[in-house]
Amino acid sequence: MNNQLFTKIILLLCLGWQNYAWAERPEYVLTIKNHLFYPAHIIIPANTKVKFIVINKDKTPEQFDSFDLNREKVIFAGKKSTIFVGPLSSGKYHFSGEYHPNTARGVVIVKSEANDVN
Amino acid sequence: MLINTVVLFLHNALPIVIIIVLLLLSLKKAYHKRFLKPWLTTLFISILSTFFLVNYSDDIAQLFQGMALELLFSMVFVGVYLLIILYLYQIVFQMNKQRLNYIAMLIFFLVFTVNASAFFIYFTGFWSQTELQLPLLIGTLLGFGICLSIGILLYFILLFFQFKNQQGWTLLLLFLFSCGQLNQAVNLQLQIDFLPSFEALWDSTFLLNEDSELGYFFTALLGYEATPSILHLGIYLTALGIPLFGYFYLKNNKVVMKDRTIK
Repeated sequence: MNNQLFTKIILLLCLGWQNYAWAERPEYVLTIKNHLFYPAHIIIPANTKVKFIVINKDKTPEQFDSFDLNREKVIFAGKKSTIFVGPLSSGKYHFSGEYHPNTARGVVIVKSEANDVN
Repeated sequence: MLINTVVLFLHNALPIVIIIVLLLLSLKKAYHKRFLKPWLTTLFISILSTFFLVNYSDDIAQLFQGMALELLFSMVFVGVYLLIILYLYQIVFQMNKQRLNYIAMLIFFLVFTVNASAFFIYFTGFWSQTELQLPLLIGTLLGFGICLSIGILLYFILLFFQFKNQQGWTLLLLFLFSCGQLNQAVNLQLQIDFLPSFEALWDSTFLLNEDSELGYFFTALLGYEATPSILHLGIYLTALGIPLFGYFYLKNNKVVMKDRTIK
């Protein structure tokens, strides 16, 4: 009996976890081309977790890197990858391509409806 | 490209240098000539697995909706944490030379493979461009020199403490290094939405910027986070607390293992 209850609890926790982990998130596409990010400015809503789909159209890999967002991920040449960001409060969060930090740069602008960021 | 290569080399090689120094110092009493061959084999396997990972990482990265590398690396970081705790318990309670060396080899293998592959993905990605080969090579050599200097400095500082009968500093740093590895696993899990995100508790960038040489060093050594969330703090403190609780429990209950003497 105890074993059955334990199994049920574990199953419920797993289902809840899966539901949380794969919940629908607003998606934003970010493209890397000629070592530049397109778009270089992304506006996302405040206090919401969002999904960035990063597509690398270059022939060399690039590393999406942001100390502001605490994210770091290699996007291989000609491949795409997913990065989850947030929930964030209003403000500007910089990111760059760590392999080309001088050219590949961008900003995530987090806006709340009440308080717009310029 | 030259400066970028130096920075990336430092970023990825510092954890390897730190773990080598800490293992060298903590293994001093347990090392014996007969372990030379297994250690060389471990180094060879680590280099092989690094090249395997570099070659196939783009394919691996596409698995599990593009989350496979994060899942794999976060498992490795958790594994390193557990192995270091086991290693420390072996040192404190049960000094068995062979077991200590084998655990140390496993720790080295995991730390080397994960960090070296991250640098070589960058290195091999640009090696095909002839005009970038020289800056890549010089940058790597410069980075290697800086890392070697940091490693030697750390080694002699800790050796100085060991001469003063304070080996505890080495073990403490090894313990904190392991908790830092767990923090890296948390960051990877957050990146793929497997853990819930929270607001940062504070921002200590003005004190120590993570994106600086010193920041890289403390991130690699202690798992420094300039903007930790309650989740980072909670997991870090739990990672510190549970082994400490275990240590004091075993010590107070005198559950000291049978073979305390060095074999």
